[in-house]
Amino acid sequence: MAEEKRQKEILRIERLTVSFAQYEAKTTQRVELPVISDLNVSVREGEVVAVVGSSGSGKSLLAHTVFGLLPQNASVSGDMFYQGMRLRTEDIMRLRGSELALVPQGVSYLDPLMKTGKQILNGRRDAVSREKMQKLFVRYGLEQGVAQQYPFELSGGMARRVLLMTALMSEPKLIVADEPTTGMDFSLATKAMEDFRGFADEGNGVLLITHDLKLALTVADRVIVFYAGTTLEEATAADFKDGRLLRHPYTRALYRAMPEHGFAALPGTQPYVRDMPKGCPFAPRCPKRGVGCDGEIPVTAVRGGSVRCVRYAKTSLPEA
Amino acid sequence: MRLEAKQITYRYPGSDWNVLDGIDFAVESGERVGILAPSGMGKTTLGQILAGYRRPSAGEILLDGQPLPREGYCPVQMIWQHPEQAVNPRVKMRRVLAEGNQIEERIVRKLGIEEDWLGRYPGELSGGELQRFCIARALGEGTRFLIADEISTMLDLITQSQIWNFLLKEAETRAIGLVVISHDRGLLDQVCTRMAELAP
Repeated sequence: MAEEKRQKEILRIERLTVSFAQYEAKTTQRVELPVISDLNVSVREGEVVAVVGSSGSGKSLLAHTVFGLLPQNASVSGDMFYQGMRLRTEDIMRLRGSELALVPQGVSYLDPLMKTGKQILNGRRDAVSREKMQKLFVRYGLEQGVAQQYPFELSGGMARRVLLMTALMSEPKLIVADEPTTGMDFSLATKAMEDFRGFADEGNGVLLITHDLKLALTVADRVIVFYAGTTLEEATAADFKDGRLLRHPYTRALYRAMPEHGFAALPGTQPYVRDMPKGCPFAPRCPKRGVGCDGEIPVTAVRGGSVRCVRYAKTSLPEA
Repeated sequence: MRLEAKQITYRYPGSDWNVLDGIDFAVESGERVGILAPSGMGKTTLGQILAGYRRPSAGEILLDGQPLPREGYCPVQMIWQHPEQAVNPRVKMRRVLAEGNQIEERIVRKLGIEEDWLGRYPGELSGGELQRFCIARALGEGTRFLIADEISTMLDLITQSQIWNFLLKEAETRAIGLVVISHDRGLLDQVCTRMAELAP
């Protein structure tokens, strides 16, 4: 049974830990800064999975890990599976750009010296690809002449559309989109979401990294919530219809910070990697903080999702 | 104080159309004006002209009836849309912050900037972390007007509302005029005192 389920999974990441080696200022002492710890993500066929969470919680690093784009001083441990097979570095090199497509966060990922049309075509010269590109230009409201322009001639929202088109041009199995819609107006962003939905409905997968929870909820099947480099909750999109269905106090705070749900700012900041608290990273800001928050916190399955919070794991709590 | 754009027209070199055509716009100290327009309509270009980064093809920018100062600290500061392109990748964050002329420690702390980040290069920080530096850098003591060009899209919702609450308070106590460029209607409704449409 478990084996069968795994086959339908496109991407599965288990207990991922990423750390950076750094040197203390003016010393030769090497320290490891853990930026992602014990993180779990999976994308199944036909699914759009949204990843939301605090900035600096490791969302982009997750994307970079899947595509093998981490800098040299990074070390990675944990398990990554692609379509049931272990994903090794050489597999990543082979699959990225064909079966795995990335929509990067920064517009600086465009080649400044290459015309946008060439970048979107990425070496393809056939008539079918050209026609496909022209259709994408029409769909995303760009004039055909934009293909002859260089990235510096584009506005922020236009460059973002070019990055998105680059991913949609190839025929991948999985798209990892890192903040694909920032700088796009609402109608364009909605189109991008429709395209992701349509792409997933054909039996593919989308991992959508975003801060725009409202927009993500229009197409996502599941939402994974990150905080300080770890997963706190996995919820269905339907859980966000009513804040009370959400499991983790951080997810609820996120829900209440949406402009339409009060724009409430929870005080405090995400703990910095050097002074990460023991146990739950959210505990110092948590309104429901209590006994056991500084201990080992297991992931518990709750109502079709999962949560990493002691309040749901009472049975496995050590005697206090 | 009053920052005023009079009949601003702008055409990019080599282009055959005006991205901005006879725009009139004004913002007073303490006001918070939202600019809403579709992508590619010249919102950022207008911001750059208001902050003195670009010279308009026609028209003028006046600060209390005078043109913007050609030297010294510019009282109109801009926070850019893409923080990764708004900082020198080859200097550490401490120097990036120092570009902003006397940034108070209080501001740095309020924005949640960690002491440790000061010793890092821009490539070693996340988009949201970089943007906090860019916001701090624009809040030097001489700042009278602030152009915020899509400054919070790279921040999570909680940080977004924290940073906006801070900026609104800062703008109020120092009587800074804000021009807020965004696609997010909900955000503009929350932070702005009035809206300006950028007519094509």
